[in-house]
Amino acid sequence: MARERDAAALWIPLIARYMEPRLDTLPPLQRRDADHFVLLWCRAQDSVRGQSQDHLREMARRLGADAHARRMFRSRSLRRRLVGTVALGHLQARDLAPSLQTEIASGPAVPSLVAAKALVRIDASIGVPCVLSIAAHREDWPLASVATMLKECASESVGPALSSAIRIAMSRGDDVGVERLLRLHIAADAHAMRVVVRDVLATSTNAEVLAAALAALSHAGDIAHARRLLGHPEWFLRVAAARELGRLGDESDVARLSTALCDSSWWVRYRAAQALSQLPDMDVAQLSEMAARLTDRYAADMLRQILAERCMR
Amino acid sequence: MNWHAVIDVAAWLFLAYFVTLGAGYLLLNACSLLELPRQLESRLPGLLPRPHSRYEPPVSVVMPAFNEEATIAAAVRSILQLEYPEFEVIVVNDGSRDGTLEALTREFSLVPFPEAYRRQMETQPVHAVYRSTSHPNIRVIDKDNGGKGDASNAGINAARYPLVCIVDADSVLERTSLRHVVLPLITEPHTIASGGCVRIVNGCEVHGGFLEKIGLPRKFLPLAQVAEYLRGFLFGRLGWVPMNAVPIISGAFGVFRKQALVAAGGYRSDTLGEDMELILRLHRLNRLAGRPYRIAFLVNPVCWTDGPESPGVLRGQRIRWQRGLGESLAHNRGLLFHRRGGAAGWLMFPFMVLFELLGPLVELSGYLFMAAGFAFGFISPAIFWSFMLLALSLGILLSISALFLEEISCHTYSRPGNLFVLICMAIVENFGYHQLVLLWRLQGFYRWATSAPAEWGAMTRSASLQKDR
Repeated sequence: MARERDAAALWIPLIARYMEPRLDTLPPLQRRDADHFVLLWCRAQDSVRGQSQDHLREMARRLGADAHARRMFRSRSLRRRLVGTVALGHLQARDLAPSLQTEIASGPAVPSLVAAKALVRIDASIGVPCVLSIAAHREDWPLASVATMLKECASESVGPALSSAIRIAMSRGDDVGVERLLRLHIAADAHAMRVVVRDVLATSTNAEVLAAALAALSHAGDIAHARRLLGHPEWFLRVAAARELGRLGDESDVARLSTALCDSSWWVRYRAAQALSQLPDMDVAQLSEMAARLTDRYAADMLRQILAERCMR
Repeated sequence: MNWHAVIDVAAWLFLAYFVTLGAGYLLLNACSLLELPRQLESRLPGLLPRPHSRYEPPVSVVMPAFNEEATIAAAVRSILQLEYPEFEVIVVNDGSRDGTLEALTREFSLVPFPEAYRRQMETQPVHAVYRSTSHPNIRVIDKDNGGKGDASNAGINAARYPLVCIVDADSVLERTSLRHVVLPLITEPHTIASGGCVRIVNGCEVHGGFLEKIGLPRKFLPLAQVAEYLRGFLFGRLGWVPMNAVPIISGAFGVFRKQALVAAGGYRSDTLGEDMELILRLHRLNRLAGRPYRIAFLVNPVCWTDGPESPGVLRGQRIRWQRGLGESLAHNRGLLFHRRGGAAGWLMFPFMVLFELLGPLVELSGYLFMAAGFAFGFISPAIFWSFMLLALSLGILLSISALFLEEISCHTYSRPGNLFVLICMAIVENFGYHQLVLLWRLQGFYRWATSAPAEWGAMTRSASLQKDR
């Protein structure tokens, strides 16, 4: 603990200074401090963007930390190996790409995710398609973590790779894969995804896949799919459809959303009422009038709740 | 067979029980040591990609409250400071007879709200739903008194989000607790519930619902509870994680997938141990139906709760807990040795019956039998002292090992003086305190066995908590 504290006291101020270009001499990196330094350096890399990352890379090379990170990468200790992997990802060690790909494909969850993050940083053009092909079927990879990883890349590079991965999964009839990949849409450019999302909505019959595709809808021109799915037998799909109608729909959706207000599912009624209140030009007076006209008590109660929510906003 | 032989056999049986008890807990310790590296590994700072906030499902935090006028506002403020992208707070005023509702109305500017209340589970009648005008994510449900389970169910009925976090109104959560405890539900699709460690807040500095400084209580009883809680959580629960047989997620702090909770029927309102009963029921229903599921327990999300400072209140609490344990096990006896019961039915359930439910009876009988036998000369000094040495050293060993687990995992009590005090406490509590708690638990066992009417008693909040929170 004391050694870790001492290393932090020495190196944290230096790392902070080297986020700017500097030429002054650095103290030698003692072997006993090297592990602590690499971890501190990785944290600093995670917290900065752009040129500061280049300056920190230069600092690590001057200190010989890149060689130490390689030793850590080959270590038998899992913790050292993980820190080494992250550091080499930041240092963009291209020669490691094949070993990282092997780790991604067959390693346990934590090391494989760390390897994936490193590979994406080293070379997004290899890393992103590799990560997507694995993420489609590795259930021990949380999509939340994969999305963070992909968000670090330019969304223009993720969109085509994601569309292509979805098409491959569709061609294999892999509904689970298609659904998982569609849920990564937030990391991609919406325009690049539009065609594939439309294709999934037009061809798939799987309710989970359709719900994921609805969530990825980005263009009002494709809203016909949401209108069609508002009458689907699966309640969660009707919920998703109602939500999208609130986001992308127009005044022509008032009648179908009013019908959905009488749905047997509380959630469909709730989302339909929310969607109605979000439609363009729908004001409080119109909503109140609609609530007063409704003969279904549950529908009227729900609309009154949404009205109250809207007034309190 | 003469009576000497009977006494000898009984003495050996008691010894054997204590040895089995010790072996059982030490095995749990070993399992905790297996699980800890896995949990610590996933905590390696900055190495794993952080979950993207868009994928952190919104959480409904449900806080049942009964006569919590003094602390309710601070408790809600403690929830509002949580680091989490999206959550709502649903306080359920369970027919309080004090000014709980008025305190909430005053503090959070509540107004009546025309909620389309969704009755997924039957509860006592709901009178009104209020919403805060200052904090749009706070709602208050005012209902008839029905107990904590009933109030929790009313909160779950009103919950809008897919994950429901149940917290006590006398608890303080660390800022990152919710983010940590939700992780298993994000990363493992089959996880239906997740709980974290509960610690004793007495001795800590809490201001306005914020935990500002961690410390140890000065009084003996809360200090002994600190050592007890470490034992209870760090291997009493963590040890069962690798087998997916966690027996309880504390009612003070746990997160559930709402769908699973509703499908199981929510909390029972006719038991004093509704939190344990629910977890055992989730095990029973899912195991017997052959559904894949997981109940997670993590060491790092910490919830701080008020420990009783007076013997009377502590006694009442332990009687209730033991009674709740008996009721929970009885309600879910179908899990015991069921062919689909797995580790929950074949290991955890018998363990809970043998060592937790019957433990006070057998242990206290053992102490009394040995002491009487030694006093009247029926039992040789060698057997008596062996028994006492075994019983006491086992208690000390288990407490010290819990401290060791705490040091390698959370290192919560970081001041060197604190560690010294806890080591002393781990030794001292085995001379009198442990036996006193056994006696109270035996009373709870008796009340359960004889179906005596249940009583909740009144919880007296520690002075520091009332003053500062």
